[in-house]
Amino acid sequence: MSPDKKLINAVDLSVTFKVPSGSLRAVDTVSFYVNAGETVAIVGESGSGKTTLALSLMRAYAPTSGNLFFEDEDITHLSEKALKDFRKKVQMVFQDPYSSLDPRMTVSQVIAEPLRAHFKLSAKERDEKAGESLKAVGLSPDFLNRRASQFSGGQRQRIAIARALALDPKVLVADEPVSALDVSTQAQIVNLLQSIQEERNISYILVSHDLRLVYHLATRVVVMYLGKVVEEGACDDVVANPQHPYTAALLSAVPALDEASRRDRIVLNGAPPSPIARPTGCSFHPRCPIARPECSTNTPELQTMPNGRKVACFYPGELQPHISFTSSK
Amino acid sequence: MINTANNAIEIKNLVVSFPTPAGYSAVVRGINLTINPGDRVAIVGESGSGKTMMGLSMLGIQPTAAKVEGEILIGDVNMVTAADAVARKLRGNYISMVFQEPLTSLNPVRTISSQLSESVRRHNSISKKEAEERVLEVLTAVGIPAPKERMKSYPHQLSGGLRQRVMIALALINKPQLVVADEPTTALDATIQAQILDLLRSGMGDAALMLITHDLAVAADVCNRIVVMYAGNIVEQGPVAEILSNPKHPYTRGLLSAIPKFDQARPALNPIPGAPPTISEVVPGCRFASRCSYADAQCTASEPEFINNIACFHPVTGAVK
Repeated sequence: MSPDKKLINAVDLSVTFKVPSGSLRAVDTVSFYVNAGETVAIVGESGSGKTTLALSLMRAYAPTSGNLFFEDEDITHLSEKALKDFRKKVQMVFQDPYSSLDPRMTVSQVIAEPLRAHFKLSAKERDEKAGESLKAVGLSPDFLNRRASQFSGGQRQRIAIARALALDPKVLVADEPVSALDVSTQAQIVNLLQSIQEERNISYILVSHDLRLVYHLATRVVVMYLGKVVEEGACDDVVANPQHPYTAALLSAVPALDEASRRDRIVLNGAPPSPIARPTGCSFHPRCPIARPECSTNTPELQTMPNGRKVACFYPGELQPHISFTSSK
Repeated sequence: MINTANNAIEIKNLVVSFPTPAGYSAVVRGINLTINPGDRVAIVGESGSGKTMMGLSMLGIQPTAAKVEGEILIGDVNMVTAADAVARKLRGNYISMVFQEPLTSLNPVRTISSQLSESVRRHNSISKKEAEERVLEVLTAVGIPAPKERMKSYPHQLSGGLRQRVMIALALINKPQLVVADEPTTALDATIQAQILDLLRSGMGDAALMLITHDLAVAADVCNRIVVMYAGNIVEQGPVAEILSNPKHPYTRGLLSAIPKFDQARPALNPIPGAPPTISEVVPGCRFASRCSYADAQCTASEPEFINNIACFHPVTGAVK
């Protein structure tokens, strides 16, 4: 993996928000990259900073410290005007297609809006491009004149993807792209995302709490807890052999169809603490089933293991979940 | 006194419909279902399947525009026709409900203790002190840490997981025979969901549970029986192990194979094509036919009846791969 393949590359990125009681470090010294054509998943629970990280990778938030590179160019402090090319190349798909599409706009208006912002095109050319985008997501160009409100959830999410694809981006950030959809339509969107990636060699940054979905789609996975990366590695590897006890618990918490996974479930106590009142030592220690006294006083650094896996824990690999792998081959 | 022997609840030919410009449209289309004491039954279906409307009508708290027909029998009382006073007596005391979003279901300006005691004292003539003892007992039973201190808290001071535990405590406080829980873990984080599923599976005392969910894995996790609904009808039901290992209805099979698995080969998922019919859509024959790969002329000509736990002309056998 040569470093020049990195499309987005964040180095020691922090994002701090001002709150009445002081400051809240939502993303705390996180390094993250995505290579061309790969899918990196960011997983974690609410308050973990996964959405803030994804948004700051898009420069929707200005980082408080650290650096953000796009195709090796430092864009950390670029002005909005200078970011225009970056904006074109990095697009987003949101969780809820009922709120991300204006119900009064026609599909053609929805998809043409980003085209209008970035290109000088005639109305006819815009419509043509919008029609192509619709075809790419498996919808008929005849839908262009209908309003978003006339479509089902799955169709709306296709329209939202068509809007993102209209600019031919290199990176697509998808924040829980299927969790608002019905089970039977989720699979349609997941397959669509996969075939788009194969055709266009586009990179995905997938934010999700659904580890089965992450396992299905991602090549690499980054696990966050209270604003920090606690584990990172190849998806196959992380799921088969999690090193951080939090990763193990997340994997174990996936509702399972089989008896064994249920019986041996690791159930954590309590809830993630507030990022304003961060515990001392390892942030995870109050909920950790294998915590030792030192975990409440010393903070484990994110260490790189020989196989490239990164983990921030004094006792990596000690806690293992029961996961039932299947194989269709 | 109301005679509540034998079944926790028996539903006969339940129809719930809403007015549309073209007349009344049914979202629940003639459902028969019996829940026995101590049962844990999952109602699995997607949005528009009618599962929530069925749950609400069981407590008599459906939207006012809804027209409810058929019988919902709790002992010898039919909730559909029962007088308000009778239904109120049963609600909370005999049958109670846990909603998806605990923050909007709890009163934000009253303490946990005051909300729970009110429910106890409404149904029992006991002192304030006795009621508070019962509150403490049930908060402890649902696994709330430091329950004595939590009693004085307001809902916003609790985390999402604790609030959902309070909701479950509120549902259990009068020792009901049946708790209806509608997507109780959908709004929760993964590790908190695991905690609440544990509680629903083994912490409900003697109460039967009807769990409404869109997630077959959640259903399998908590319940011993699964009832699958599609577009207002029950299409299949059976013990969890049987539904998972040998689902017969093409819709149930579709739901199972659409879920991503921890499969190293990462095969493409098998989606169910299309979308469910809308409320006002008139569908001739089986309502799943347009999305079903087994459908033939018979399926679009007439609607299959629910016989032997399945409503399908072409049931399939064998495990879903």
